[in-house]
Amino acid sequence: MNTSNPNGSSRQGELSPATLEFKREGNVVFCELKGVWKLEAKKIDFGLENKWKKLISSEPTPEEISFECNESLEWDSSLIVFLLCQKKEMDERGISFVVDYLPDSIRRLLSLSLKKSSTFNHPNKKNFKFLNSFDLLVNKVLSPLNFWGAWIQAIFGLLTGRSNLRIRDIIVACKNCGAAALPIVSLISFLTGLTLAFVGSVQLEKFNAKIYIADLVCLAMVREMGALMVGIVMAGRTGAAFAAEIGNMKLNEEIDALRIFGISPIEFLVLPRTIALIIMTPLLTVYADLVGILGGLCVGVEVMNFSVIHYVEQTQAALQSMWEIFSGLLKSLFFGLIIALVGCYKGMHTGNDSAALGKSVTSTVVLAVTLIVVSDALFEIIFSILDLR
Amino acid sequence: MNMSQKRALIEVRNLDLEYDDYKVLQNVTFDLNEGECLVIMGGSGCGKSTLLKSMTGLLQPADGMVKVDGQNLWSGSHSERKKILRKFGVLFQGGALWSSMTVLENVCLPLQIHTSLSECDYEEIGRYKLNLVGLSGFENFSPSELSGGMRKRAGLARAMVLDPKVLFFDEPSAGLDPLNSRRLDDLINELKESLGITFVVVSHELASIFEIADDSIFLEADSKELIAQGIPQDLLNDDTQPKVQEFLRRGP
Repeated sequence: MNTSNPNGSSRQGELSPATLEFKREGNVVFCELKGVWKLEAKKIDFGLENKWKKLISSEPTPEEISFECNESLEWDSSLIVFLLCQKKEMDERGISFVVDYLPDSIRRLLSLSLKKSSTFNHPNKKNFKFLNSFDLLVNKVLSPLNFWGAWIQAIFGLLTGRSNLRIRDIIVACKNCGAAALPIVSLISFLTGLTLAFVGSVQLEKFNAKIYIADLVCLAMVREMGALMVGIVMAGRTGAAFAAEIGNMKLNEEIDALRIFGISPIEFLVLPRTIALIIMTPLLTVYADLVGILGGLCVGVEVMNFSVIHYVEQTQAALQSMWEIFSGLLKSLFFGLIIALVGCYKGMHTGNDSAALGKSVTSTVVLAVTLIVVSDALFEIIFSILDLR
Repeated sequence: MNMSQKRALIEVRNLDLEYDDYKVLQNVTFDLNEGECLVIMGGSGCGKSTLLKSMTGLLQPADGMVKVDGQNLWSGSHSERKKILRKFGVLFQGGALWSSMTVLENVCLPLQIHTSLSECDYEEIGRYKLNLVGLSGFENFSPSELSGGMRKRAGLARAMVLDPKVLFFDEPSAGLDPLNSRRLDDLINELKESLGITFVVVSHELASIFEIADDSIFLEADSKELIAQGIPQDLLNDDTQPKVQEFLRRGP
């Protein structure tokens, strides 16, 4: 592509800058390209640019500008780009662009880049209109509802024995979202119990009621923090994983492949995951309650010098009925459902590129945590209205 | 072949396809005869894969109909559609193997869901199908451990596992070396003749088009319509439309 020239080439590092020399003969301007027209050579100096501007806007406007150059000119794409730019400007002013005296290779490249490529019109973005935005809103509400409906339908199918659900899938999902989460749940709930005990002890010391730290830690864990902490950990851990797994399957056309074989992705992918999470979240919550109480016990024994038996007895006394525990488990069951449905929904509705996958994972965590906290508050309000606390 | 012996297995009539109000194809009409291989041709972005999607029940057309064996694919209920789709096998562009399962499990899952065979029996069938595409010995590999060509062949084994009447291929030779692509063409011809399977192939691999096609349709992106139909060799010889000629001759 490059016509090299042993004579005209200057030494490395000091390429002579690209220049133009004009010669006007009546209405025709001859323009000779000189110097080295290469990307690494210096840009055309501004004086030249001004001269060029003056030339094409001079009166009377030249009818034709003809480019020419020595066969041995050194050039690369920068020359072609320069010529194309000038052509555009000249076309606007109605000056004809003549390249007949340029070497063949340059002319070929020019004509190649001047050829119209078939234009593809991108679908126009819709104008913002009230009805359109209303439509969008309805879609946003309807699509999760649709998903939820399909899920409920699948559950009914399962209950009436018309389902392709494989028990193995549930067990694998249980292992992934339950057993594998034990370490992180242990750490988080132990520290939660510990922190509750430290915070509470300062307050209770003022009333000289330090032993009630056992009641505080126990009730707070069992009613509230156990379920909430497990919910948040699972949203970040399992919900995100669901969205990523299913989203990736969608990108790979694996979901389409399931549909082709008449296998409903809701039954095959969503149902095992939701069922596993609904089973595992309450179990993990029981575990988190215990570990949290253990965290409180550590503070009680080590820092406040209660005996282990004393602390345990106080804890037992605090739990007046099993409802204290069940209310927490009821909540965690709902949290599990929320996490699984949000994760699977976001996965199934991922866009068609990997950026969209990241986005849907993020929004899974955000939406699931928000819903968990909101529904937790709702539960507490309902419990207090119903006099269940 | 005698014209009267041919029977249209799939009839597509006045099909309009769009994504969210963006029209991809309009007024597409063609027939697909039983036991033949139809190639869908056209430049990129002309809606080949979209047409395939609507024929395989993945994308609801905006208008028009697809009839399979005389039954309308899109007007019936969900379960009726499922029944029609049982006659189909689809090989996706990247194979679309289920990544959480081994190759053998991938091939066997449709059998497991749709038949009441014992585990021993369906694994036997799965092995046989893998053998057919030259993948015996790879049963317990996970899809990520296979090369692109092998994934495609495993996808083909899975697509064939329920003995479909129609096999749909979305760009079978994309990403394959010339030799493997040739082998796939031979396999298609072999299956067509020995099992009487009907093929619908989306392709722009010219060599392979001339090799396998009994019939072809040419889609065009600007008018969004079907602009030519026939045996590729005949199109090459007789069709006068510059776009078709350019495509089939790789240039003007």
